[in-house]
Amino acid sequence: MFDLSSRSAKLVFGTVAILIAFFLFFPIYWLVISAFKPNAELYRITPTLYPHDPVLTHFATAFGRGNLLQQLRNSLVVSCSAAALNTLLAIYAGYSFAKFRYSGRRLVMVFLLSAQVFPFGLLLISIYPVVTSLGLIDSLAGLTLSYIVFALPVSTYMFYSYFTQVPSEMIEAARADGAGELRIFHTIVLPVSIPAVVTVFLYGFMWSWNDLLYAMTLIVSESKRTIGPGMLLAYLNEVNSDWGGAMAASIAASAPIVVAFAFLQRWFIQGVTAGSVK
Amino acid sequence: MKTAAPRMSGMERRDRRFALALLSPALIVTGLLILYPMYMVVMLSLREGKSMNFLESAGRPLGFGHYAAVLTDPATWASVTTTLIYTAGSMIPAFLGGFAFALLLNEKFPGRRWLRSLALLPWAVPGVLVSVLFLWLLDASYGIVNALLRDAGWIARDIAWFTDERTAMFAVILPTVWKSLPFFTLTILAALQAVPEELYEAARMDGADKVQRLRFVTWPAVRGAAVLAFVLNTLWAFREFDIIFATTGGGPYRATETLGIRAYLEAFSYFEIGRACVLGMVMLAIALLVVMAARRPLQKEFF
Repeated sequence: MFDLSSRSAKLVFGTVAILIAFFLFFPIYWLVISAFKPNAELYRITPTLYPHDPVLTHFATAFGRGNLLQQLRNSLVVSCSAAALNTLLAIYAGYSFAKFRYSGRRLVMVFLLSAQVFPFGLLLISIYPVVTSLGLIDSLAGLTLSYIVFALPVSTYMFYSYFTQVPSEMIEAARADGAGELRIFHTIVLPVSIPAVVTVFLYGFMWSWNDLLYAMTLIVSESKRTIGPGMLLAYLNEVNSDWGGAMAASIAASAPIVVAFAFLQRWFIQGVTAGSVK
Repeated sequence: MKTAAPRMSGMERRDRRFALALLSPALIVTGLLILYPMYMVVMLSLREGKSMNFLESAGRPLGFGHYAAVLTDPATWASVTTTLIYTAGSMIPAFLGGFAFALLLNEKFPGRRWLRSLALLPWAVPGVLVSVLFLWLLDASYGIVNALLRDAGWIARDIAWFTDERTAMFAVILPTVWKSLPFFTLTILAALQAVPEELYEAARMDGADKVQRLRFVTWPAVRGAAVLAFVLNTLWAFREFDIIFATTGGGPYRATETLGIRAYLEAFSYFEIGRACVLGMVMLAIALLVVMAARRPLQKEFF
């Protein structure tokens, strides 16, 4: 878009690029290298810009301390189930909004999205008794269910937005052939919707994996604790002085998200794009 | 409404029943976990008196006692101001930076794809992790930020970013900008890539300079996506909890106590459920104002 032939344009372009890239990537770089520095190098008044003497001890202490491994496993179980449940609920609702006309359709959708402006923390005041009355308090199942709050409205919208772009002629043709509605959805619409499914799954996974508040409130037992509250309790307190361990634990806690994005990113970008640009 | 004239009404009825069947599982869950809790917040904000117990509160007489108490409390308005400063202070730089970065990633240069993938990371990682990371970067004794500023000669003494009243707001805004900038970049970049290169060529032929091309070609093409991203992110920052709670907890001396933090503390630390729910209603009112202000572009984008 810009004419980059002039030297001044190149200079401005380069400077802005470097500044923003530095702001975005330097913290990541610092996170990674801090995890590999020995304590003697970590706590120096003049920090070293790369680990002169890389060690793995912080990973050992991070995994040895508390229940990092168990917390990661709990988070993985909850996030995968929440993402699956969310995708399942959202895909049918989104299809219903996109391909059928009935009164109140728009109103329901606006209502669903309006939940987005509500502070999630306050919903807990009454989600707590709801989950309790279902007998699911302090259980991973209860936490999974409550994560629907975060992702379902936007996920439904993403599917809605995607399905409006699936040509209705395809569906009409199958109807004319006498195929049942469910069959049409599963054999014709679903196969072309994989990018949207991947996007929504990842979106739901991300919300659940990143949650702190709900896990902190709905889970009491240490054995069921997930990674958010786990890290909060281990490293975010007045007396934390184990920054190396904190950085190592951070790497472990972000690994699943990074891996998921690395594999599914192309589809994810396609899906988000379909939702935000029409 | 589509004009499906030849279709029989029986068919349409069957369609409608099927559509509702598809919708109902999501509706039931939404009703139970979103709508009912929202309704309860409204109801509890109207119950007089203090009670620790949720069920006991529900039986109390109705009234505007909590509203009167909360709305006349100067601490509430201090929190409103804090929230607005925090939201605007993080969203405006994140938007401008995200926009600029999207323009840059839209250019062709080596390593672009790689950079784009990496740029998404801050947005995807947990808020707790972002908090831990920035606490370390801004650490008062061994933080790299203090070290760099000291080396540059800009500060004489180390700054305790998160615990100093004067810098705490900046300290919580910084990770918020870091976390939300990539979302702007991603959505705006997607819109940019939909603009055909010929449009720029044509504008260039007509003698439009860089600024004019940005204003008359680029901006109209990305406006919808940009507004949508801005509103979504603003609503998100407005009720942001994790970063502030995990770093400052609202302190020092309430310097970073936003409405979301305050409502949480009222409900779960002081067990003032009525007051917490009124604060929630205040948040809802402000959020609705934001949505109303952006109603027209939003409508265009959403339906």
